[in-house]
Amino acid sequence: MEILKTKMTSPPPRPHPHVHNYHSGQSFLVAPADVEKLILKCTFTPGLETYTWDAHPAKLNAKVGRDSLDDSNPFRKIPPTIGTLESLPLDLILSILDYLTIDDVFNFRKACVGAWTLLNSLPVYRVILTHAYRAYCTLIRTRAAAYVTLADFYKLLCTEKCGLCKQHFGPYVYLHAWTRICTTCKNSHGRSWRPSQICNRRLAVKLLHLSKRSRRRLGYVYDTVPDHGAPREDYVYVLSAINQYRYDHAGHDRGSTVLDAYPPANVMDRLYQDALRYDQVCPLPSYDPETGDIRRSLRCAGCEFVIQGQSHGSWPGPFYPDQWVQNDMSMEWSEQGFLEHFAWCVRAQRLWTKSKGGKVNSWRIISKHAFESKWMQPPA
Amino acid sequence: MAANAQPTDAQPKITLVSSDNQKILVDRDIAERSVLLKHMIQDFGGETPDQDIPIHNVNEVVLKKVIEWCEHHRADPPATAEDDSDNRKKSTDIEEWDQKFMQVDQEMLFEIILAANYLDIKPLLDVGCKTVANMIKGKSPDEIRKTFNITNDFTPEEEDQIRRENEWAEDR
Repeated sequence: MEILKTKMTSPPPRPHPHVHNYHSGQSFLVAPADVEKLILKCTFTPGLETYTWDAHPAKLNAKVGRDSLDDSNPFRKIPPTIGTLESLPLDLILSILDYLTIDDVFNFRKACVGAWTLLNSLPVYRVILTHAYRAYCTLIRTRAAAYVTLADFYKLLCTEKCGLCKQHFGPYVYLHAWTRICTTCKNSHGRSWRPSQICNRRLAVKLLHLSKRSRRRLGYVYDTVPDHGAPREDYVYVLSAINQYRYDHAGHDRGSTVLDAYPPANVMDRLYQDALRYDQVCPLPSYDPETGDIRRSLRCAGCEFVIQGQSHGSWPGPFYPDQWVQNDMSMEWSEQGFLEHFAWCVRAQRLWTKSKGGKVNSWRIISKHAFESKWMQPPA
Repeated sequence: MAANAQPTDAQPKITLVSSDNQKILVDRDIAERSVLLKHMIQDFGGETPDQDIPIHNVNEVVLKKVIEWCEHHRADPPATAEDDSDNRKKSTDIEEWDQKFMQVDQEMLFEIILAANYLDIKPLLDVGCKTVANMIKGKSPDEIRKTFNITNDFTPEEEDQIRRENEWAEDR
């Protein structure tokens, strides 16, 4: 927070593109002392129930206790042993555990009490369970845990930038590539082709009319979590599905196989459509190993108010159909990102000036001034 | 460094004494794969020491095995600090030669790891740790118990909880 305050003394760069009445004409700076209040009043942390991915948290907690085995049981034979591994010093055992995937850790932990307590005392594991419990559970349930090591997990937890655009704060993890992803990249449509894109197995089989042999060879990436009443679904690589189609439709020329058949363009479109949006992300906060702070994503309360108004049809102000603006309004920011956004965001600035330096509650302001069309204009 | 790494007949030799009082003669650049010995030699003022260096914690068989590894890897470039933090933990892939080298019984494997730790030979230590990690990989709790001779000491209630956890994880 201290670093943030000093950073806010200089105005952030003018946004590009600069949209008239969406951005203010001049950058708006708050006094460094007000930064904390500003973040409290003009942002909110998105509710966890809005995420498409994981199972209901109460259900998870009921089934996997965090440190459910009582380490301090006085009747337990002390000390618990871990077999022949005992001959290695503790720091070496810990560096061995760093190489294990989450799946292996999950199994190793269940071998004996010694292993269980050992893992519970491992700082990296503790941090993951405390701060990224949902991502941990999701990894195990989707069987994606077989690719991610404990060290990978911790490393990603300690980053905050989106791994795809490397620009914005990434409050989600893109499970399959194990990289952070920002709201913009998550919502991005279109056929930006990436070799790692995946699609629903059923959809691929249906669209491409794959043969039995090809269906067997589709491979497998991971499953969905089945807690939403929907059946569990398998996911496969789009590329693998297309390659199987090409084998199905391969021609033969002088004994060699010719792979020149591609699925029709509209089928390709369907396969690549929504490839990033579809049930592949899970929220993951950002952890600062030096201070132990946790950074969750923040939404701009002013922008959210406009989005809500637009979707209910009660919004009196101008409507921005522009995809860029829509993305920008539903962006999830880091604290610093929000302050930069705030410097040019007319709606948040209005909310802030109305709150009289953070004294008035934002819901009170919104309910009082909801039908004024001035929301899209810079404050006087 | 590159000139030093060339194996020549004129290499100065160093005598190491294992914990069971066996003398082993090694080339100086092989001994310097160990950071501990390297520092020791530096303490002699950079001269090749003519007295024996005792290695108290390592017996002859293990020491010979470690020296065999160092001989094979004598031309490897020394690890830099960046390698250390970035690439070390990426995968458990092991070179073919190292894999064969590590095909020993578990007791020997652990002793090699301990010796590498004592002598401060980072790459060998990494290979050892990866080998152990590979022994855990992809195994069920039962198989892990068998591999490391672990007794299952959970109470029935804890067993019950673990069973519930398994059901949760395996729920398809």
